[in-house]
Amino acid sequence: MIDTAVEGEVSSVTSAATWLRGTLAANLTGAADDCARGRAIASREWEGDDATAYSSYSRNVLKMTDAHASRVGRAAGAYDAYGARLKAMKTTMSGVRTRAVAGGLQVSGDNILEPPVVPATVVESGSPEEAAHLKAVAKVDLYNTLSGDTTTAWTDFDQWIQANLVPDVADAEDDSPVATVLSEVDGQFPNYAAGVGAGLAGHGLGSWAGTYQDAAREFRRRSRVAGDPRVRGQVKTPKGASALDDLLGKSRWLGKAGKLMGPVGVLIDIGFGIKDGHDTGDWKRAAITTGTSLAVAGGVALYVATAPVSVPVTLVVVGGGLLAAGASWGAGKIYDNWDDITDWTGDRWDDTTDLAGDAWDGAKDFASGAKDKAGDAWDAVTPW
Amino acid sequence: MVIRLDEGAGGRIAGAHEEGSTTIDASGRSAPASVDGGLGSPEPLEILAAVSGTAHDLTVIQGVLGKQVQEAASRIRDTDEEVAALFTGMTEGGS
Repeated sequence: MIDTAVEGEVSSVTSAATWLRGTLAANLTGAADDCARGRAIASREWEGDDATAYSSYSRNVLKMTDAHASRVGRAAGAYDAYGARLKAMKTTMSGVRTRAVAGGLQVSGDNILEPPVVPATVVESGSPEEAAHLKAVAKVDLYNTLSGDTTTAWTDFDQWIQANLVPDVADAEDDSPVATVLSEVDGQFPNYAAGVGAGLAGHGLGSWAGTYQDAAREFRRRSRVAGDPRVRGQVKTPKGASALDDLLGKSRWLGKAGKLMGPVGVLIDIGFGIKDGHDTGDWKRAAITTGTSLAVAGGVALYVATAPVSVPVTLVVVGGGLLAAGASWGAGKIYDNWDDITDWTGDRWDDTTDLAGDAWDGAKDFASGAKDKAGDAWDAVTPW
Repeated sequence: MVIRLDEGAGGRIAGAHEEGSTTIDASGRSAPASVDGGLGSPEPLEILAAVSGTAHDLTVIQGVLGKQVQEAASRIRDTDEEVAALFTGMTEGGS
């Protein structure tokens, strides 16, 4: 199953941007104006060393307030950018679902369901069965492609966050001059600082800052323990991402090869056997080689039927195709050397049968290895 | 040496700073309760926490500045009255 749900509300992000720019930054600018107004009054109506000291100190307050208004404006810009990126991510996933529906895959809500395993049956070229078989293989290919596209989209999204929002957080947290001044003020007027912290009518910014920080901390905690891959950010896991890329790359290539070397490959082998018999007049050899292909194809069908449903079926199909091709080649080899074999010594007979056996074992090992590798890789990226 | 603070100036200067403090703090009345940002939620929330926290600090700093100006004006006035009392007493005693 491919989960294409993108959590988060664009409207929530954009409304926060609006508040940052339209309220907080605007009010900070207003407060800076108030500060400048006080300084202007003082410059006209206050003289003396005390007035000079006030002017110096209030200049710093004005600069800090202006600087923070600019900082909040940049934070609003970060929210705008993230809102646009979140919207694009939702559009991307919507596009993935649309492609799935167009390709005949089942979509339930935000989930694209895995297509059924394609049986490795022998089908006649040009027949409706072959058309159905190819259609089923196309669904598997599409499913694998969409899996890859989804993973890529999540990886890009996560990388965008790391590249953009993380520096934005650092910019927002750069408040060292304010923190220094506050520590001095807090030392001189602890009760006043505490009173303002409580806020007006329970709407103090200090309280909100704590609320947001707690929410961010809680989100990160849930991300570490939750089973939901979107919350956990499983695409961040290098092992998971590389294993999936590796698997998808292989299954795409093998999917193309499988159409030639799977059950269709058996048909080709039978066709070549018939042609060989027709050309040489030796129908006995053709019967042995094509019979071997059919026998192995029967085994392949059993192998496919017992394979895990989560294994990309193209891997199984190509494994079966090679199994059939290897066995057929080995049988032909024995037949070609039959006269020599009967004349030669028993040792030579053993060598020849070993050759056939090696071909058989090699084909079986490949199929088994492909199955195990596909299973391991699939398990590695689907721990939930 | 010049020491001068016009009548009512201290109150107006302090009022400007206290108004600034109140203006910033009023932002909290319409602050978003949270942000539903999906996968990227922590960073926007941390940005919001940081800028709100610093704005709160500026609320305190501007408010305290207003109180300091009030205190300065009060002390200047008290000092002026104390010094004036020296002469006022002499004048009264001599009358």
